[in-house]
Amino acid sequence: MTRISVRRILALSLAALSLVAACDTPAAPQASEGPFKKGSGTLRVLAGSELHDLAPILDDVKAATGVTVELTEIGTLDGIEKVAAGTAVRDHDAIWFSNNRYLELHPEASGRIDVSTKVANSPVVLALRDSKAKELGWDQHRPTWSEIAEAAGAGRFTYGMTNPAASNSGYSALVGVAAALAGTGRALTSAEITSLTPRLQSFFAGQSLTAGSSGWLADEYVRRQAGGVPVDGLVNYESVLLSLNAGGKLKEPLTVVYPADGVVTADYPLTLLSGAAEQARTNYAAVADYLRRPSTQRKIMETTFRRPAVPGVELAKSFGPAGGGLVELPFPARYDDATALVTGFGDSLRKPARTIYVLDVSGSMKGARIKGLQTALLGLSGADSSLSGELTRFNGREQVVMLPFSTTPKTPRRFDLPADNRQPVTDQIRGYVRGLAANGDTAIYDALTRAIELAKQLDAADPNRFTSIVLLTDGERTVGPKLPAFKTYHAKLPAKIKTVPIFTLLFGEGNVTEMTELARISGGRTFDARGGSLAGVFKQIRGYQ
Amino acid sequence: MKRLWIIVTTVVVLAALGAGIGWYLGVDRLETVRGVVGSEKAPFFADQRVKDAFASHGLRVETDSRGSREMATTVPLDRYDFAFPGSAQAAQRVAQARAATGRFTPFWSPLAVATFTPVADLLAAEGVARRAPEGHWVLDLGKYLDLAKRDVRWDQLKGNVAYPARRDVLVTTTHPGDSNSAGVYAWLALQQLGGGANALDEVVKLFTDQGGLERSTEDPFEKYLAQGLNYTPLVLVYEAQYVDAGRAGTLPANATLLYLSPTTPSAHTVVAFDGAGDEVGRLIANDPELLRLAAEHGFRTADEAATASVLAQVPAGGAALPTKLADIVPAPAPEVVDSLLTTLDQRLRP
Repeated sequence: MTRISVRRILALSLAALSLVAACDTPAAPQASEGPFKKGSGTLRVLAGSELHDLAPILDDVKAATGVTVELTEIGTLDGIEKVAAGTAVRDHDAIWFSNNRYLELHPEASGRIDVSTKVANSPVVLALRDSKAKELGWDQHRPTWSEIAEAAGAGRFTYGMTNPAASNSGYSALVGVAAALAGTGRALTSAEITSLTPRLQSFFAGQSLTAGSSGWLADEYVRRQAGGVPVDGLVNYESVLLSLNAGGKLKEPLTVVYPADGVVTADYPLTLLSGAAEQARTNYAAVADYLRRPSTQRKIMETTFRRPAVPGVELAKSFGPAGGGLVELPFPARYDDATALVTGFGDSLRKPARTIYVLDVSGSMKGARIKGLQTALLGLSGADSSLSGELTRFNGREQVVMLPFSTTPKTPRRFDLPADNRQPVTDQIRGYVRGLAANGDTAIYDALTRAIELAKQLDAADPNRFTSIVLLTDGERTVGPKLPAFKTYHAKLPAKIKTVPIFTLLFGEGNVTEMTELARISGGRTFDARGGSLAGVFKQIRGYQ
Repeated sequence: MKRLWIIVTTVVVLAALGAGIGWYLGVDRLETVRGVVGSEKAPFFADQRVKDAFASHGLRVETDSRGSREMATTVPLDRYDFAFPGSAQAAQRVAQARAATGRFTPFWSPLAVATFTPVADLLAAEGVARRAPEGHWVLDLGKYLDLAKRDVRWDQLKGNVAYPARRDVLVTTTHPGDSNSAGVYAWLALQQLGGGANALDEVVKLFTDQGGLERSTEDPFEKYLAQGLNYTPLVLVYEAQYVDAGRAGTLPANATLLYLSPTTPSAHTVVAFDGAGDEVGRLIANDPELLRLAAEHGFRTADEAATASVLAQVPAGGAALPTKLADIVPAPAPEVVDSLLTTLDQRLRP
């Protein structure tokens, strides 16, 4: 035996020993499930925000397969648009949303997506505070969506739901409730939406909290409960609702209500993009294999309350409904029908929005900044003809208020969009926006106080709207009151006005701490516009209005 | 102490040698062959015994699952050595998309509808389903199509406590533009309705009324397995999928299978693009071990006795699965199916 072969054997025995050692780590495969598939490097995934709770599972994926799964958060429609345009594959290998149904209807999408792997299931359902569920008798009796819509319209309960144009859970809820109310037994077509309008309006009249993402909605629900202004319920994925109950942050737990006439269920398809590199395909196969192992499926079920996608993994007892079925409701069959439902939601079904834009037009906004702002607002007024532009434009029945400020707040200008024929009013908005000019100092809190007084006044005259404030400033306050004075003023406001969310943009040399604080005290959120275009961020904010 | 060390070292060295030899003989010496296969065949290719059988011939077969129709439209075929769609018609389209070096038809599997015994009983009461003399369930396609045309809902069926849902009585299928099973179903329905423009409208309605459709046959079937009646009471499958799940013990409670009447054979066909693909095709079609395993996974091979013994082991609510099927119409010419599916795709994805 030569020295070299001895060394080789030693190396092999070390390898054998490390194999034995590896069997004791959690990354060892279950004997019945076969060896792990291996990849290397990163799988870059465009994902919905609701997939974030799978992070611990993705750590396991890394340990087992060697592949780092990197999730880039993106809204559903932005994601669909990127995939359909063929740009997603430039910097990503795969997509992962709660479902691909809308995407698969898109006429441009079919050649853009490759193999797809269903990872879990979760139906969109209603959950109510225990006491409210008891009061309505829905802890015992399973209501239909019709009963739910009627009770919501009669003001017997309030709920939060994400915006269907921005988030998958909201869209699935809209599809479910529309299909159930239509009650035809078939997939809904756009022709049927008109006749459903009164009953859908009744359902959405009960909505008192909206959001652009499921995660933020759940967080805000908890904050409202903690702050003593609770919303009664949520329409969201069962997994989000059960996670809230298990999270220990709720003062009052939720009773999950499984509508008797059915639900729409998310199936979380991890989907490879057409044209992904060979290494990405290998990585994808390894990740998909790991996610569908019964042991992983069980862990996903136990830690994120999603139902297993593969047969043979027994459903935990915590999943309802107790006795009786959970009928799956049909999704629209055609792209136009699916889109008509979202535009219909914005223009005629939802509780209309009152959107107050507080806009810094001080001297520092001169040049590219004010141009960027103008482009963003023109986009919302109909100049953006992309799918996401169409679904984030100002809606029929919306009230838009522009309140520019510099050294002092300028005269606010209000635009009331009619239900039909929005064009004359959007033309006015466009003309107004083009006339914005930058000059003078930065009186942020004067302007914000003015906006809130305006909100108070408008709400008194017309209370059935979602009122929100958007604050854009690119610098520090230079004149007028400071933040502490504003906070004192804000703390004394009546509850309904105090919870008008202030959505602040992080932009230019604006004060990040102050912007964050404003969002915090009002139940709003910050949006970072320092890296990208204002137009993109203004579209993103639309999901919260 | 010293002796113990010697023993330990010897054991470790022997184990390492063994592992080394295994490694030398095994994985690294295998030639990797890539295929894109109809998802209904994914369990077959994932079976370790199938992998071993290929390995004994020096091959490691890696597969991706896609809809059989997608293979000819959106799948990048140049990265594969073979494709394995669910029918000769789909194979023909694949061979048009990329030149084939060989075709092999190792087995077939009839289309069927996976359901639940109480649902089959309901359909029997409506005259839509019946028991064949051999004991298995049969779905009368003509009567079913009549029900579908009239938009009859489950909650309108008399005495329905099994699934009183406000949903139309409809078989859940995949998208005919993506998947072979739905394509063949569409063709059977069109034949049954006598062809022509009105019949085509009715066929389109079979899909649009369902709403969003999955791309590949294993997807809806897997939901049937995991979610049961909640997902759908009727799902279009290949018999092999049902048999495979039955043998794996993953069928939901009260599962049973309805055979279509009339039905048509669907010959799963390997389309090879190069020598390695040819080798895989030849092996699946001729290797006794692979054929035996295919039969175990529910595919019907030339060995009828093997099929009979596999079928006999599958629970189907007291209805024995038939070794011979009646009322078989010949498979349509590829061009016929192709033109139908092109039309359907235009109607469904305008």
